[in-house]
Amino acid sequence: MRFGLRSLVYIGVFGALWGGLEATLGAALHALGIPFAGLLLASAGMTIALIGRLFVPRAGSLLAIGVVTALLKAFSVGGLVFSPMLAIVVESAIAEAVVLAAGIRRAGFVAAGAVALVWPVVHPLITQTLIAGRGVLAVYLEMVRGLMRWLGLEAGALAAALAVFLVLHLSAGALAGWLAWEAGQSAARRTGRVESA
Amino acid sequence: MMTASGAHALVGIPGRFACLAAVVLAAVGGSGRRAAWALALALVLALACHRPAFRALRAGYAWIMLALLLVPALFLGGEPACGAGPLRLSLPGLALGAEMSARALAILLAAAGFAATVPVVAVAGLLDRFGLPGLGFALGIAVNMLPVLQETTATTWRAFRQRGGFRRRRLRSVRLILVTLVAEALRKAEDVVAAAHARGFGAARHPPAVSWGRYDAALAATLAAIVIAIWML
Repeated sequence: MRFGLRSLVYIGVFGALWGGLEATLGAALHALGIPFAGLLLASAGMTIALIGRLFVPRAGSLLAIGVVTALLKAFSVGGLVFSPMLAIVVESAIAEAVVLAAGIRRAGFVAAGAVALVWPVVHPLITQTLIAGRGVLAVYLEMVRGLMRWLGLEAGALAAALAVFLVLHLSAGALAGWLAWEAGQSAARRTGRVESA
Repeated sequence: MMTASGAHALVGIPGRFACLAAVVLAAVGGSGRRAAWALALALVLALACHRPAFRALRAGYAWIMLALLLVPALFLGGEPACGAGPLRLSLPGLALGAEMSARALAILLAAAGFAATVPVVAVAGLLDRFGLPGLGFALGIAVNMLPVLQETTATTWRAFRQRGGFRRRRLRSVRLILVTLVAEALRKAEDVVAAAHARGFGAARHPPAVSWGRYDAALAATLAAIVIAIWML
């Protein structure tokens, strides 16, 4: 991945926008205890990153924006942010891969947002398995079984809840992608500045 | 971010990266007794090379994370260790919980030590050197632009609220805010590009040198041997 001066500045600026969002909106959402704060934050961040990809139409730029955001997060908070940093980088990498496959167009952005936002669903399980080992999965499974017994629920209810959760993430991601395309096009028209690498 | 400890002069960025990698490999690659050895390694390295790592243990959420690993495992079932009445603590659960906590604590100490002693610019320099050129420059731009963009965001938000934004057609309002923010950010980015060009600054630069400590190579080799020994336990 080699970028020109303008591309690097744009990557830095979009990384700062996403990083600023994580610091301000993220802190506010978590402090207020708003449900699905992580999903809201990931959607907003993905919107910014996808707009950045529109203005730096080079392979790898979305991933670079994600890496800059993740490093900014480490810089601003200081340590112990391994999990959110990994989430940001992986979401950017997934979105980058989808945009590369589907192209820089509305459908590509919608698909990229939707697929990238599936990661937050599995992220806690994967990171905790990496950190604590596979034993944590057995513990979680036992906890879920106990909770279902206590609530008198059947396995179908759990599957339905998981499906709803997944669809919610897919929809939020698709909306983020659509919003990124619309806002990005409007901003490009307003500034007359679609980057030509 | 850098500590003023004596170890700083002896252990450079590669040495600190080796410490992090060794603990993560020892913890992830092992189970049972190996997790305890990984924790022992993390404690020794934190004491010797990066004492600020222990600050991580002051954070309440670190202990909440460890409790979340240990406590549910105690009720996993199997042979009971002890208990009173209906409350029976599981012996296999206790072993599993201890193992998971040891692994998590080892990785926590190593990651906190690395983050507390290695400046983020040095990490960007490493990335620059290993296949992501210019990333350090982009990160520098991001750090400098962050307060400016946060101020722009706050101003845009206030202006929008005062004009009655978000009362209806909320999605359109979000889109308008985004367009304003991105357009402003791009204007500022162009100013930075113009200033960089005026100063003859190009992105095609040599990546910053990685500062090696005196004992980095020996430390890395020793840690590699220790990790292999832990794996073979």
